[in-house]
Amino acid sequence: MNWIWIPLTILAYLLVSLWLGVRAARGRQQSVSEHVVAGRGLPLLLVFFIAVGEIYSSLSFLGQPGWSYAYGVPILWATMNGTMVAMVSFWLGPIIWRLGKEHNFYTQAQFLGHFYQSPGLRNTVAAVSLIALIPYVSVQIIGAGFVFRVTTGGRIPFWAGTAIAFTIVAAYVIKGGLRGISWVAVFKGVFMLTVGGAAVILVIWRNYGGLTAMFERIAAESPQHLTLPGNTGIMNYAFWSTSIIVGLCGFYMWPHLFQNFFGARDAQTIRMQAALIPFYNLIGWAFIMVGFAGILVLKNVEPDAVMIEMVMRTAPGWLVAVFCAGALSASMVTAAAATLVSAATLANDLFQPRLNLPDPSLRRLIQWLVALVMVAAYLFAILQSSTIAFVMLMAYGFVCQFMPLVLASIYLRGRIPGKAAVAAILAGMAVTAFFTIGPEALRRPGGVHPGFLGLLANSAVLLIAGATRRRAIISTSE
Amino acid sequence: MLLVYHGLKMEKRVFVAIGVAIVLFSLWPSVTLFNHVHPFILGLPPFVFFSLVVFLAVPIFLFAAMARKI
Repeated sequence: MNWIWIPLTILAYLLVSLWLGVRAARGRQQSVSEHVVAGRGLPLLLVFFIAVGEIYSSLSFLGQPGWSYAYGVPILWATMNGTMVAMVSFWLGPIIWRLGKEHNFYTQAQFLGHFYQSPGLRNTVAAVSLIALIPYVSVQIIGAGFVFRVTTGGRIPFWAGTAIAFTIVAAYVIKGGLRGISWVAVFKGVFMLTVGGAAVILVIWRNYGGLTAMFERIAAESPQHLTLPGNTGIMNYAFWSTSIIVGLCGFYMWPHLFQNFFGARDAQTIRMQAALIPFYNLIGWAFIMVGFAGILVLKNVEPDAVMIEMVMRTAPGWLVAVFCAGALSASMVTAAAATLVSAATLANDLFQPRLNLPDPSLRRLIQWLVALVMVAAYLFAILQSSTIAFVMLMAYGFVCQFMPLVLASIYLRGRIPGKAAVAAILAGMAVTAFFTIGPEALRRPGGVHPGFLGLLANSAVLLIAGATRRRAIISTSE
Repeated sequence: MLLVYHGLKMEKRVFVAIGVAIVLFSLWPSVTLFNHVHPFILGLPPFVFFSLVVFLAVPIFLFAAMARKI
């Protein structure tokens, strides 16, 4: 098949996404609530697909198969974690939804700032959110760039392909907001499930004749891929266990996933989508199997490109073309949601307390900021070069620092002062950053995830502050 | 965890304990039980099989919790 059919298929996919995203906003009220949290009225179908659409991004499509190809079973922490976080969603989601509805919250920073009665905390959380989200959007752009570069043999350069794709994403986020993103997510979710599933089955059966046969060959020729610490010894038991804990704490603390709870129609919708997530997550597990399939077939391939290389070697031309569109869509939905939340956080939490804009002006500001955030993420993507999975693994260390504050805002309400909450999050961030980018000899001590050490520091500060305040209240009342 | 657990009715406590048990199952030292190349379990390497257990446990747990209105 001529290579030109791949970019043409991708372009057709992009145009359908644009149409769906823009069409979703028609006939809807033009307000901040409608744009950012879909008027708090999303039904199960949209809540479920936007959740899985945001979860199954470039990371699951390209990064995770890349890890299984390069290192083996250590990447299975991600699918186990992605399944168990459904329990976190089931537990915290309805509580966050109810509080969001009662207090008309749009963002996570607003949520935390309110419960700790601290504008300083609101600003801090907003800044940390942006520090985590912009690289996150960049990771999605890098994923899209891989798709263009690998499938066209470099004929469409990274900068051009991603510029076209993410201009379209920005257009439907500006016009359609969260509702637009959710309809694109439904399209993407069904597309990924069918096309991705077909591609995985083809790759494994054509190359090995089945999963058991594949693993028997890997066990004979490369057994280190099938046990911890994995090929090259990347993940010991401490890194495995602390990565899962950090993932469980961090997953729904990503501002765009946290904000999705605000968009649901009711609490039962959130519970049901949580119970359904593990079924969809099996497709992420299946993508990892393609990385295993690549171990004995591909030599010296860039890990993030393994998925596409395997499909291109095995599947018929038309399936390669639609698969590539699906791979691109994996990046787009996640990037769209993260961009919208970044813009909403900037406008609602950093600018609005100072500008006090009326609702229509705030909505317009958010729309302008969507474009600005997208450009910033695009520049970041062009400048940085780490592999997708590694960037995400480290970013989890930062967002998981919100979890102790969210739990304390629910279960220790009024007992932690705002300044202590700011100190806790900064302590968590500082410890995580030190053990992530500090002196080489001190990075990941004993294999423990830096985010886990940050969580310990963060929780310690919160608990000491809570105990000190309680003692002060008791001694005052005496 | 104690904060969450505190003040719950017995049935909720059981569900919280099961949820925590599922998470603990995925961590060290449970993971060492499956960290071998052979023998395969249901046609999969032990570690790959281990990764699939939560796909069954979590939905059963959550649908049960919904059925009991937890």
